Amino acid sequence: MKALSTIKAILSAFIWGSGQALNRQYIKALFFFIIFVGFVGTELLTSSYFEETTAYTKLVGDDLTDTWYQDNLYARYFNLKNENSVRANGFDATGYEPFETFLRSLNIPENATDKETLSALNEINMLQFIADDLKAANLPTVTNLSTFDEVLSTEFDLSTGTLIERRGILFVDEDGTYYIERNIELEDGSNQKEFVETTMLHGGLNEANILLSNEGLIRFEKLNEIYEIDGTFYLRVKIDGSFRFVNLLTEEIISTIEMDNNKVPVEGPMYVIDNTFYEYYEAGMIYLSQRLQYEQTPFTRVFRQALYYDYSADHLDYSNADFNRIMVRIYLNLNTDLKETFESQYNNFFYDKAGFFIRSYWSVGTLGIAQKVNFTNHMSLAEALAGQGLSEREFSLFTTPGFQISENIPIQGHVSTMILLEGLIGVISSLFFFIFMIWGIVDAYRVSEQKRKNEKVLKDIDYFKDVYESSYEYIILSPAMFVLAFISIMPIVFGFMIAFTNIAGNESMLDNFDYVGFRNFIAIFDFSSGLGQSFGQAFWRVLGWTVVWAILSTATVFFGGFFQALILNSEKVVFRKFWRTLFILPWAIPALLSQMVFSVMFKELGFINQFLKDLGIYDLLFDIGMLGVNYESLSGIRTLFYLGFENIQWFTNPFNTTFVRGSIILINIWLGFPYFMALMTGVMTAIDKTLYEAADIDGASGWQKIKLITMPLVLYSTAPILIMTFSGNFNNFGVIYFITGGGPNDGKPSLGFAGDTDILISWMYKLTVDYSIYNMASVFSVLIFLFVGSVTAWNLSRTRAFQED
Amino acid sequence: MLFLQLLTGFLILLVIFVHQSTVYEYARRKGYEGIKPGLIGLIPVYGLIYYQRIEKRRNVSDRGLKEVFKLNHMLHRVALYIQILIVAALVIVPVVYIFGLAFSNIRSDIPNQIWPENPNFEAFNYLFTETKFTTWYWNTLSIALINMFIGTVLITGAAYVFARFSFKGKRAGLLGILVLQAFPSFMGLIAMYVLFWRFGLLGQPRALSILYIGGSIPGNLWLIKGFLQQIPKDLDESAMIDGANKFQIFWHIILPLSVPILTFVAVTMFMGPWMDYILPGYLLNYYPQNAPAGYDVTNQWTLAVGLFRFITDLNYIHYSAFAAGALLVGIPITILYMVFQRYLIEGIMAGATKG
Repeated sequence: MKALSTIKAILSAFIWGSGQALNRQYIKALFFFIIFVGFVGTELLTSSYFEETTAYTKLVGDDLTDTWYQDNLYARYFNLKNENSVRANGFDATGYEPFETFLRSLNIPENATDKETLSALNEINMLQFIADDLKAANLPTVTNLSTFDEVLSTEFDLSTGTLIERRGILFVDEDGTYYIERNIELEDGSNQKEFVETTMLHGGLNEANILLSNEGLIRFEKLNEIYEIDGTFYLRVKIDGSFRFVNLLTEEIISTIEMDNNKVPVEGPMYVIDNTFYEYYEAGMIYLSQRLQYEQTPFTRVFRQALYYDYSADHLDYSNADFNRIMVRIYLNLNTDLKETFESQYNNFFYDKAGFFIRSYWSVGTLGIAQKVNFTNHMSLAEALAGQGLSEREFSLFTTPGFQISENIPIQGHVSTMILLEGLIGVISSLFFFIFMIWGIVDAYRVSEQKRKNEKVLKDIDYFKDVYESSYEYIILSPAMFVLAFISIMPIVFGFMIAFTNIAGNESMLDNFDYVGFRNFIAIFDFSSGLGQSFGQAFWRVLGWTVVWAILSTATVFFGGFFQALILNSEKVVFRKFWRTLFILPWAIPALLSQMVFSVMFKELGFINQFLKDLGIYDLLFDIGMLGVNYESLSGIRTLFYLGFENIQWFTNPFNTTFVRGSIILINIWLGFPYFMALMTGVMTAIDKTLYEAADIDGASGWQKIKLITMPLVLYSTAPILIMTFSGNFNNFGVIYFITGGGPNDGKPSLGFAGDTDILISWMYKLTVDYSIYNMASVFSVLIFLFVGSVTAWNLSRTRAFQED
Repeated sequence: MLFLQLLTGFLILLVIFVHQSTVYEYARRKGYEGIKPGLIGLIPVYGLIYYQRIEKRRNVSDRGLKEVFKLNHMLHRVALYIQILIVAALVIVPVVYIFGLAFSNIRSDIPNQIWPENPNFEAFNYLFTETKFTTWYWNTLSIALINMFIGTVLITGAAYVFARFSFKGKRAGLLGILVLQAFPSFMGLIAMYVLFWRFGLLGQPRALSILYIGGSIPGNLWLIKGFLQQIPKDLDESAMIDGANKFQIFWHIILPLSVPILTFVAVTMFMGPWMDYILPGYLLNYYPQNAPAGYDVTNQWTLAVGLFRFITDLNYIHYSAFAAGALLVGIPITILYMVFQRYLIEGIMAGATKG
């Protein structure tokens, strides 16, 4: 039944070769099955389905391993318990309470020493405990700075307090009004400083009083040093270079006080309520560029001791990275939301576990999800875990040789460019495999049908021979197609997808970026968004000029060549070959070199201007008013003739874009006319002389002969080249980029970074290489393709060669 | 002052050439043709007299001879040669300029003379000793050679298949290749950067060959296919009757006949990378992350990049070196083009019309 064939076909889709096996064609079945194994095998071999993956493999360094915690840390704790010295260790023989509770929760009997029972004490648990311990010992507190009473912040109401700003630079005038400096960005993008009135210690801005300069004001620098003498608090300041002290309550300024022994170490924000000063301290917070440290606990001291003795000494190959890893892990345990994000982003199923093919499909769909992370706040654990090196912190790891904590631990997230690339490679490779799968399905169905209808079925060997003969073409084509797929097709798809993302900017190559749908394309038409205002408008401007340029440059070169060929074709010219050879020189010289030479020649102080000066043309231009006049003083049609200020600004004229564009079109004639001249000369000499003689008999004038005989024939033969040249000029990178560099007014973000003479392709190149705006560059290339591609396709579909096929 | 000098020179040349044209026409009417009248015509005054005295070889009337001097003919000649001389000057000036620049030693001032006062070889010296010019030359040459050999081999096989066989998906394949050609090569630039970065190929000049080959597959495929299609199929068929298989047909019959087009393609593939700036400008400017302090990125450059840097990058600026390098690179290519101009122009033309 047909259904049977269908079933076999469906089975073949799941396990390749099964259909063939059911058809009793075992060699073919083996063939397909081997490929199937290859496909699935690659997937499984490159995966980690069967392994444990954690996000922490992305962190630097190695784990200390469970045995270290069991053997070294626990043993040391055990010994310290036996020392029974509260003063030295912070706990007695009954042990450190929180830790004992923790051990009980793990069902580890008291004073256990044997390995079996200790096995529950692994690294993850220990790190969690240390974090919990630190957190419990470091709840945010509010300290009364006079009495040094400490209470938990939850039990104290700070909302009525006023913050004391004890650091900063102010300016004060003679009346005692204080001002603070501020930067404002004006409409044209420049910055301006202004000075706003504020209070000496309590912040706040009075927008009604703004000065534009600090002339006459005295510099008042608050130095963030608090002193207390007899219950009065002072802040040390520097007024106009000399040190003074300010009474924090009365704001009176005093010249000296006794500084020694009276300094109050304040780290967190300081508040005043009812004339009493309080400090708010929260470990991990950053205030005034200082990281508020976690206080050590007795257990962290044990931990440091264990590291000091049993890790750095015994494991001489330990590295800073390992310790940094511990700090980060404990830090993450302290901030559970960060930990969750970290674990979910860096232990993603598709990226970390899946094999090559499945991961590639995910990659293309999502461009990666893990953002770049830069851990810095783990430094707030430096004092507790590493011992800051202060003499009162014993077992400071800072004294072990070669030890160093990293202040920045960056974790590279998913690099979207890389992910997209690997994803595309994977998808394309999987397509190659799918070709075999489809082949297998179709074959299973067909053979099954043949068997059912009792038709002749090829034996396996013959089948493969037949396949070889009939797909000889495909086999020969495969290397080229292979290269084509990865070198031509993959980058185009990549570029196409980039157009739908928000990749832009210097770092974006390494960053994680996302799809933004059609936003970039909409910006081209909708000028209200920021993107649209600069790039959208720029696009239409540049596109317009590109089309105009392509048309004008092709036309001028075409007719220029035609004209020159006509002239050289005249009988009155002697040694025509000599002149033709001479005139073909611009074509023979590599275009790149001549373009660069022109760029040098047409510089403002370059050869052409110097030559014109020597000729005396400059004086002429000065007199007429095309040179040397201020642009603003011109109006109307005379602005079209503005050539420059001191020198003729061929390609740097910021005001007269018509002139610049005209110049480049003229220079392009030099570069392009020889080719057409040579081409048309060939055509003209091939024109039958009898045509001209017949025209002479009919009394045609020379001009009529040209118009009615020469021109039509030449145009007809060279028209295909015209289209090719138009296409080529549309994308003529060299002429624009090398000679004009994009033209005047280049590099302005508000103009989308496009200069006046930029055509689409040179603009896109600059966007990619110089300004790293990859997404917009891709958008434009997609649009160019749509335009040029359709023109090419239309043109070529009309040629006979294609239709014959 | 200069203006008068130039004007005088121009007028003298004009007179000489108009005289030459007149004498040539005169001699032609009398029956003398060829190079000799042209050359003699260049000698003012005497040339005319020579041909006045010489015997007529053809039977032309006196009035026919006088016609040569008619006013509108003379005006026509003058107009023609004015145009020709102006164009000749425009064509020659940049060439002379670059020669002059190469022989001066201008480093960073903007050069504004056409010929230096003291021509010297300083710039050439600088080019070879203080820059990596030879490295660039070798880089570019190796890219071109790899491109030529591997590319031609790869594309020829594929083109043979498209030309000779019809198979399922042929039309679609051809259309697809056409469409690929329409994509600006530019679109894959970013992908290429990431690809190279991924496989550690950034900063390796020879890796660029991959890109050139890939980019030239579509265009050259069409060209070779078009040519191969013109080889009559009868040859194939008679060979098949004699028992040759497809590969033998290809090797012994098709290949020898396609030498012209293969040469053209090989030459184009060789020439392509020499003067390309877009790809090397982006992919060969790579500073690896663990670069030592004295890392010289110029080792990676090709000629196009190096020469351009000479005139734009403030670190490397040296106008005369640019000119010297341009001469060394440009002269061989120019000569090549001049010699083979007919083939090259026709080849491009054929590519456009035959599709």
